Amino acid sequence: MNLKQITKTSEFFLLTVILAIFVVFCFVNPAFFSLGNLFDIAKSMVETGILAMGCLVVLVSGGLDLSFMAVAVFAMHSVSLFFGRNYNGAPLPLLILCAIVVGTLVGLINSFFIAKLGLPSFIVTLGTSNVISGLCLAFIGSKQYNKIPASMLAFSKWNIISVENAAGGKSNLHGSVIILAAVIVLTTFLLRKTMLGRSIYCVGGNPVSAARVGLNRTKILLFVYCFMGGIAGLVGILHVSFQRMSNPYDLVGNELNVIAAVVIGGPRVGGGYGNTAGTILGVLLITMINNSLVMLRIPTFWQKAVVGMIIIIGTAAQILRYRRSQTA
Amino acid sequence: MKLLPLQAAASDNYLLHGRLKGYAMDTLLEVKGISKTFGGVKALQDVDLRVEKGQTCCMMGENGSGKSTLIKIISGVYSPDKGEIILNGHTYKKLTPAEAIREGVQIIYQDFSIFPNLSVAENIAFPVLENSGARLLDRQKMRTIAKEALDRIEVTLPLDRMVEQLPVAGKQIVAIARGIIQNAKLLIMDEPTTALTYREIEALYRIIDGLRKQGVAVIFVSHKLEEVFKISERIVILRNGRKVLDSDAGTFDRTKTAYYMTGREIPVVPYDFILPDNNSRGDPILRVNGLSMKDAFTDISFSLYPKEILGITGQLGCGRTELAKALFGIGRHTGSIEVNGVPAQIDSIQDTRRYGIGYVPEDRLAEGLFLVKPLTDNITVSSIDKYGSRRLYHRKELITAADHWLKELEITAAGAEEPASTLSGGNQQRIVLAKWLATDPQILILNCPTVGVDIGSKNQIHEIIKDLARRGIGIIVISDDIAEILTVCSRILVMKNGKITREVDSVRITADELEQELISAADEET
Repeated sequence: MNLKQITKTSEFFLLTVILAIFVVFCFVNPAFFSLGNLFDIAKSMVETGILAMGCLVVLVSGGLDLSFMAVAVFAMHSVSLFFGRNYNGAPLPLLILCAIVVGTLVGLINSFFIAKLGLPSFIVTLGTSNVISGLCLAFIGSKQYNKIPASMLAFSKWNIISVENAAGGKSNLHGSVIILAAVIVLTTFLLRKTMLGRSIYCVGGNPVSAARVGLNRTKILLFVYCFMGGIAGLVGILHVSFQRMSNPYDLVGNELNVIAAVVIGGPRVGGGYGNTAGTILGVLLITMINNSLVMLRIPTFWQKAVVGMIIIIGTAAQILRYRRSQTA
Repeated sequence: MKLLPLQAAASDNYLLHGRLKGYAMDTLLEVKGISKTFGGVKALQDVDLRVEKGQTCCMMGENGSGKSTLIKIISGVYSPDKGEIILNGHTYKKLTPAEAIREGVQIIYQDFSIFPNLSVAENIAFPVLENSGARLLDRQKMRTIAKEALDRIEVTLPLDRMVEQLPVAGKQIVAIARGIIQNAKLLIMDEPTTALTYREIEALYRIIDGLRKQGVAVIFVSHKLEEVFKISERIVILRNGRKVLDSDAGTFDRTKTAYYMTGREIPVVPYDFILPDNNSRGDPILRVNGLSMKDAFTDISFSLYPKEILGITGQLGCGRTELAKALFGIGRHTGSIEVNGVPAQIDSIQDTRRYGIGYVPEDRLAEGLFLVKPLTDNITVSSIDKYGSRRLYHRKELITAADHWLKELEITAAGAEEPASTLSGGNQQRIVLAKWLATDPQILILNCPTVGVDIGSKNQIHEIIKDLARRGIGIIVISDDIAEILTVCSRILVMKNGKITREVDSVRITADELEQELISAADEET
């Protein structure tokens, strides 16, 4: 790709928008351009970013998952409560592993309806989202829980960079960004380098052709929704650590933040398109806006409206650009 | 391989048995006594077929003749009730799709079955890589495979281009290259030239010719007679599940094709309307003056008289479809249109209905029909205001109207409440026609009215068109089917690069002259 082609990509377009917004915010509130704020944005990107990777894979396959927040809460609450009560000294990797397993198993339920029975993913996950939330409150617990395993509390204080700032306080970069980076690398590898990843593009791009080439759509979609489930489980554990308690009413309802981030990052709803670079830029944009609205003292209810508008404007811009490229 | 000993026999011995020698040496595919029944309907009855290495064989037949069933049996999608399939000397009672591919059978589907979202290289190489059992994508290898495939058919395409950005012909080349690199020995192409321009068709013929020299056999399904004779060595015609003809293209009498396909003689009667001379011809019902549309056509002027059938022909991309759509209120145009001598402002489809203009689109599936809806709804949708009273919906009246048109246009259907998807191509096209006739139009624009319609139905549709014109409707037929234009139309306009280059009465031009006109138009363009 030469420079001219790069400037035509949707990623370049997104990056320009992000830089423009960044410059504007810096003028409005100089505190925006501080190491502390940048570290904050990075940490705020972790949950959305990791979930967005799962969401991206689902969108590429031609589906849409609305249940990942419910799955994250289910994994979070069940693992926190179980280990909090029975084995408070459990090491973090074990907790993460368990949450991923729980998430994957719930993902398997989605897979069954979507991949095996061929039902529309949108409807299935809307249903399972409610079922899982309800069951979580009914059987796991409906109260906040704060006697979470010690390793989670320790993790919440794990900063990899700590810099003294002008005010005498400290600006910290939280270690969870490493996990975000790892998930991004893993997803990029999956989508770009593995035959499985390319098969997901095939199934999303043209299901009929995929079947004629001999791809097993059921198996591929089974993987896709389990992957999303596993990702959600991982985020559940990170969320408990950040909040230092497990609240079963958290997260659910914020699906749109993640989906918005992914959608403006380039994939066309309908499947077959999208990549991790665009998605991460989308996450950055959404996080930056949410974060800055707080710093600019704009009431939080505006965030909802703004995110909604971003989805519409972002997708409209992508589609219009695409149409123009088709007619040119 | 029970015939192996033959190969070992003394050479002059099996030269005497030329046929047998051919079998052991050169036969790629042999289908013996194949029968297949679907729910009591005999789709194929005792069909034999032999294809030699490097042979180009054209398969013809009306819809429902068993062509697609036979193709699906050869590619392992269906298994026959009776008979056997011999590929490369291996006999199969039941062939699976995987076995068919292993024996080198590749189908180029009409929709090409490609991935629009992936690059040219990935589209071509994906099946090979997938079958190799690799878990990781080797991009280097992918490009090598794709390059090799394109080299074999002597075409260059940008390997990194997304396939959705290629023109139709490019997508087809990708599909062919993908088939070839999977070690294809028999390529089955389903109506491969439908969406191509003359130039692209010529290029396709060259590719097929190159493959033939490499020993790849091609089975070609087509409705177009000209191309059948241009590239096939052999012609096979199926009718009602039986093979009725298997002949060398060279010795085959092309005037008999329609007879073999339909089982009856189809008289070709040109439309007998001749426009009266200037003084007595009266006023045109449609007059188009200096019509232009950006990137489509410029300065188009013509008149259409009652009872006239005006043909507009030209190669794909000459602006003919855009012109048809402009007259139907789709797209922005400049210039003037008069209907019955009164200036008409046609900017939307609603406008055209006010002026009594009907349009039968080229792609009836996408633009003309609600496939899952009953015929009743399909027929009455454009004229719904005429039925019922006080803005209430009277289903019974709609059904009565639909029944009337089913009878009028001789549409074969189980009933007016059957969905449109259950009809054959020819009958579907008649439903679209009925929809516009129900609006009582004075001008009817037909865009490629018989694309993908088999020969018998085609003839009936032509008769219907002529009959409508005789009743006083002015009709415009847009088509690149030369025979169709000549039999149906009274006057012909030839379009090239968005302009009308020639106007001629159909009795004053022969098929060869008209074809030359079209091809020269194609040549000048490049």
